Amino acid sequence: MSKDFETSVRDPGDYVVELRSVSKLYGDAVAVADVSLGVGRGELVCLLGPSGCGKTTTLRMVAGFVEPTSGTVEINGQDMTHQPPYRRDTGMVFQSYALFPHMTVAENIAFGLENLNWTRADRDRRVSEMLNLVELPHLAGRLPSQLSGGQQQRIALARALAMRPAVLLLDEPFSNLDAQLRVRMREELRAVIRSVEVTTLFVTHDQEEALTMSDRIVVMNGGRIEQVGTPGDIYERPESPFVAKFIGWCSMLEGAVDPEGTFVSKLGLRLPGKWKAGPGSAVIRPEHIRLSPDGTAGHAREGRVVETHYYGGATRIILDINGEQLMMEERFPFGGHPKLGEKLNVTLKMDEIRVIGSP
Amino acid sequence: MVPAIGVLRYSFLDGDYLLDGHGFTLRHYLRFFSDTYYSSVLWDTFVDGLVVSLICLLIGFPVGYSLARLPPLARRWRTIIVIMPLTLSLVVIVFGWLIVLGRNGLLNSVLVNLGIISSPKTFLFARPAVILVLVQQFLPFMILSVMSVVTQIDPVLEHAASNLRANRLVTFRRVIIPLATPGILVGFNLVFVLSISAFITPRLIGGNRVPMLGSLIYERIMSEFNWPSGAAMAFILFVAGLGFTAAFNALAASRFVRGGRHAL
Repeated sequence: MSKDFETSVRDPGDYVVELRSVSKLYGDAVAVADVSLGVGRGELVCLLGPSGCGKTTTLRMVAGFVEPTSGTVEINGQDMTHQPPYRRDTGMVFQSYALFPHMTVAENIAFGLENLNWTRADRDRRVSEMLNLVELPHLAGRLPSQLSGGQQQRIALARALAMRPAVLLLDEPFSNLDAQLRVRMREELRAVIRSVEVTTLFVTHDQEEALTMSDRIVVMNGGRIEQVGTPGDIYERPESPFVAKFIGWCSMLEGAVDPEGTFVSKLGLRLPGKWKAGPGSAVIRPEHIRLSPDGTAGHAREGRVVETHYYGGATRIILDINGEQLMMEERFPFGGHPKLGEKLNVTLKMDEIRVIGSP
Repeated sequence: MVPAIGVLRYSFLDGDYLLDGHGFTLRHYLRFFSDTYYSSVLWDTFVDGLVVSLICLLIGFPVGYSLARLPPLARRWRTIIVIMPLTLSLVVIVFGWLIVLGRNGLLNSVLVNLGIISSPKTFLFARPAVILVLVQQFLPFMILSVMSVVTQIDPVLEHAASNLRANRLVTFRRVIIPLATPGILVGFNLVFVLSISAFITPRLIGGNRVPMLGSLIYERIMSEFNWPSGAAMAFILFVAGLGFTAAFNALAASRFVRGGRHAL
């Protein structure tokens, strides 16, 4: 599965961060298993997966807080596997922000610069530059306890970026913010990262965050990389049932592709197409199913409404077609909601449906 | 409070035996301040208290810090071991030390057998022995104070410092120490106050050679039965100790509490 990054457009020599066959064991428990990954210059790569999938451990191995059991970690082409965090050219934004409570905002941002032995004047200049970057110049003299969550996050970002690190590391940076602020901070963070063009490795369990922010997504599960690709690759061409289910909503049908290329589900639902013969699972996203009131278009089917869930902007409907339950989403005009048991004519976009072969 | 006020009242009684004096006099205070012997004992008591507190800090900080960073279960039984000596009677502890430090004691026989010294030395009745035993007695207070404050310091702050290019020493100096200062002060004050008011240990381990104010007061009251004079000395110790700790805390607060930059 990790072939994807090797065949990507970038020259391997241009990786700012490169993990080679990195594993981490805690006793017998495998936290990270044989992860190889390269992050190109200026790229924003996201490690995405459920909790316990090894994404945070992977990030911590890049930062140097966790030493790999085997494999190597390179930053800027130098082997950093056994170097302590303070010798690595990384800047990290922690989930809890980890601002020093006894230092002012300005002192927090200057902390790394002092350790790099910058002169007072240079430090002051960089601190105000960073405060302007995150648009909080008026907070220089405040203590972290006097800031809101969003402000703390921006200061943590400013502190990490002040040293101009080779790579910016973000550990679930939005998980402590409420839903609305989260979306705004996501946009701001992305704008800041773009403006300073810093290489970024980012950990999240939130697929929406990953899809909207990343250049490339690394989907992890059980300590392994499931798939690496652009957000479009990951969503539209999942390579495993896990990736298909974890990113976005989908209905998954077990079955097999016959020699003519038609997928036949276990319950006999036939999806004509040009898939490769053999057993597999069909991944059907809600948007692959569209209402077709006249019933004449290409592959029209009749489905019976089994469940409806009203989400305001759209209604999610579970349809029973040939005994298979498929999820679709549709915007119904006022009063036009289908009733339970009602029959709907729908078409399936066969060319967008993906069949994942059994391993 | 009531006994303390009683002591203050006794110290002004015009008499030299038990409580059968009456009236009001500053005689006992004047006696203390006119004889340089007392002020030198007071000074020595404070120096000893400081030395004991410093040694307790030097040993207690690393121990308390590492206890705080252990998982809760591992911390629990180690904490019990730390507290254990406090559950023993002080007299038992002191007699134990008398056996260890005595002329024919454990320490001497070990040192002689190892050939480090040729004949037994006198460890007892000397200042280092008193300080050693006081440190042993009061160390748990320092460990517990440091431990409780360090458990409040989020370990992620150490990671953050490390990520910001701070090695362990810089992290310790600029993050751990400033944030642990409240606990360090509590421990330091506890040990200092307990040390300057100790009387059993200086009397039994130090004998007459290591006068500390606590044992002097004890003698004045229990051997000479001069309650008013003893009360005056006790009150002087109380005020001096209070003044000293207040000044010390003010100094420490101005240096450490809001000063990542100024610490150490």
